Amino acid sequence: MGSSIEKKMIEFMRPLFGDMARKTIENQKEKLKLTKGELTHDQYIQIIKSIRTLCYKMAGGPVADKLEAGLMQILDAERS
Amino acid sequence: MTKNQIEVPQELLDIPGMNPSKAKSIHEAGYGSIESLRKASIDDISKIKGINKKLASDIYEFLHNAPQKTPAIRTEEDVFLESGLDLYKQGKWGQALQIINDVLEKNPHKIAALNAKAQIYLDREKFQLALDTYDEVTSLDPEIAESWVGKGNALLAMDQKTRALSCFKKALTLDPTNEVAQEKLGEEERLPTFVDGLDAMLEGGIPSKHIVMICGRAGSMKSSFAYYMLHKLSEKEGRKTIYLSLEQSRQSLLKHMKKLGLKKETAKNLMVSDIDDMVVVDMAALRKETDTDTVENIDWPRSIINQLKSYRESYGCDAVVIDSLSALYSLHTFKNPRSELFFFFERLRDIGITVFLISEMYGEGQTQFGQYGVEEFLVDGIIHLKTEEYANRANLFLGVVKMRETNHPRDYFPLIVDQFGFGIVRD
Repeated sequence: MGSSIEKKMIEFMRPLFGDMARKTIENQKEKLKLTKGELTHDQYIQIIKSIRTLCYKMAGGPVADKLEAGLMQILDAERS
Repeated sequence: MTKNQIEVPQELLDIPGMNPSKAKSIHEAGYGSIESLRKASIDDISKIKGINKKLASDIYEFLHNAPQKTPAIRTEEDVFLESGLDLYKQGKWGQALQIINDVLEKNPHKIAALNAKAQIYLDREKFQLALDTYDEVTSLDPEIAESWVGKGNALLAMDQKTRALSCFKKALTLDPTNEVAQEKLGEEERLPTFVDGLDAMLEGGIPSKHIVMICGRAGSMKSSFAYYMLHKLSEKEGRKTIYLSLEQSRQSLLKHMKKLGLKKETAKNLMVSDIDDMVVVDMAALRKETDTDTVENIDWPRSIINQLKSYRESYGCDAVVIDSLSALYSLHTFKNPRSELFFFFERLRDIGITVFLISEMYGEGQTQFGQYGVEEFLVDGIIHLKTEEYANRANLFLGVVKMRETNHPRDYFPLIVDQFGFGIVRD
């Protein structure tokens, strides 16, 4: 699940985060202390929520909602 | 009259839903008559350029099930007009015009004759006469794309670009496949600034896909000016735009804009896809989240290019403001500025959007438009906002120092900001 989902998340985040997309995911993992082992579905949800909070600061509510929805879709697609 | 109308048989033009451009496509696809077109299937017809499935089906229905009309009888007037057009094709435009005028004397509303007359005037560079005649045609029958193209060409020749572009746009709404209108709009598209007086000075606005620097000292309202243009482009034209702030926080920027009466919420169809056409992205907030080492290791010029490319592909984008070039310089050290900036600007250009770069003034006396002194040669346009002290007041002035593909005055004009927005005062 891990690397493939993160690749997709990075690509989805690139329009707003540029080359900082990968680092942003890593930062959220560190912030949430989720650095060990493969992450579960619920842990990815935590990361997405955390990215949403950052995105809210960066680009406002409507953009943050859209980003969260897109990332959740990626997560759900990977799960199924 | 255009070549299309001369060569395409009238019977093709008489098909319901047809216009000269579509009839021309049918003719060029090898169907020179109603009889040959009647042998084609709906699929065959829909493969013709400019004919969609629905129209193909309507044409088929018309040719097979509609009560057959007796072939149109060519009147004496039609024969006379055709002889005039033949003369015109032979270069005898004076005689052709005489015949067309005779036809019009008998039937002043004959569209084919009026279009032919307008085209002759256009070819003879009698632009005002061509425009007057096209005006008559478009008021008699506003549904002919070719007449709008002709009118646009006349206006273009008379340096009335804004009106010309409206005509080409109208032609495209009537016939989305009209190649002349497509070409002219592609060549001439400009983004209006919505700064009162400035668009008229810039022949309608800033040429699309230009890279334009907005320069000025601190307090010259560079960010507000750039934000205003993006805001209006989204609000008035539904353009997708992005404001990339590298230094000032989003909150502070929006607060300032609200003070100017520019509430972001008033821009309709807000962002990423259906919600917002204009997005303000605060890259500084992202930088604050990240450790200094990582920030320093990012190749920011490349990252911005990747970000904009990806943004455009994902959501569409017509214009971007990068605020500011000076902030970018603080994030990235250019070892060979001339070459690196050349590639940075070229890659920005390759993205295919209009770019506004906000820049401080540099050099002794702050008269230089970019830190490295090469920026002004690499960009397509420079708008300079300057403050001048007069009677204990800092007055704002705007000058267009450079704008490629545009004839513009070099003077500085007072820049007014009030509840109606930005405007320049020209004598």
